[in-house]
Amino acid sequence: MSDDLDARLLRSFAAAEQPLAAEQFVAAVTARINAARRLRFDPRSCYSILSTIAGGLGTGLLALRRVWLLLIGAAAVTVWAAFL
Amino acid sequence: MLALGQVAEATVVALAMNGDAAAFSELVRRRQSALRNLLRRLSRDATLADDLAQQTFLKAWRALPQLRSVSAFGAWLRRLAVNTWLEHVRSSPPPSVALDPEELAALPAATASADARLDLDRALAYLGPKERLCVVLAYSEGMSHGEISSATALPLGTVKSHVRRGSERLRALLSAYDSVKEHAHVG
Repeated sequence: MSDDLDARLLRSFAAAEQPLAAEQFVAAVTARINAARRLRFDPRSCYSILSTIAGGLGTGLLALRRVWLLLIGAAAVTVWAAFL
Repeated sequence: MLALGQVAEATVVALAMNGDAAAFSELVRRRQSALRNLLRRLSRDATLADDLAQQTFLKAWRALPQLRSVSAFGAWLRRLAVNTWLEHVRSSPPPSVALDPEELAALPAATASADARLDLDRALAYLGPKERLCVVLAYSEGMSHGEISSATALPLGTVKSHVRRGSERLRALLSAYDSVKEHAHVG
């Protein structure tokens, strides 16, 4: 700190500093990081999603009945699984 | 084997950069108080400050592998906090609290009657966001004008002027507060 600062203000700022308890805050940050991790796609989950959708599509086409329902169901289950 | 709490920060930073979650939690534990105090001075709202501090640590966790030097961690984290706060100010600018000499003269009476405490945070509320930022970084963080300029991307002359004018206004406000307290004691 090389610049001239007012001594009285320095004292006021020093007095206003208070140690803050860490536990709850660290837990909140950890929870946010874990939530962000869950939302992050990695190549493996993308591959898993695509292959399951392709599988669902194949099954639906083979069955030729309620194709769209099967597709949507498969996609939904895959996306849900990826976020677990 | 040493517990993480006893390990030098440079080592903990290096571990966290390699994806060690426990090491990152240790960094949060070590730095949270200073960072939250800084953001409380800047935002004057403890809840908002804690939210911004959490956002800062989340950004740090994401960007930590890009940190160039473990010894720069503290300054890097502070710059992240400042940028997080500036982004917040840009997205939801706080109402400006202008203070002219007449208001300053009226302030002691108003605060005394409301039994309000014009502490440092209240006084800081009368500074504009960038003026407050420069004053807080100078007085609370002990940063030089040059360091503030590089951390905030404000021109050096602007930083000097913000610190000088901000200090003058804070001094005036705190003196007014002292006179209120003296009157209260006498009365």
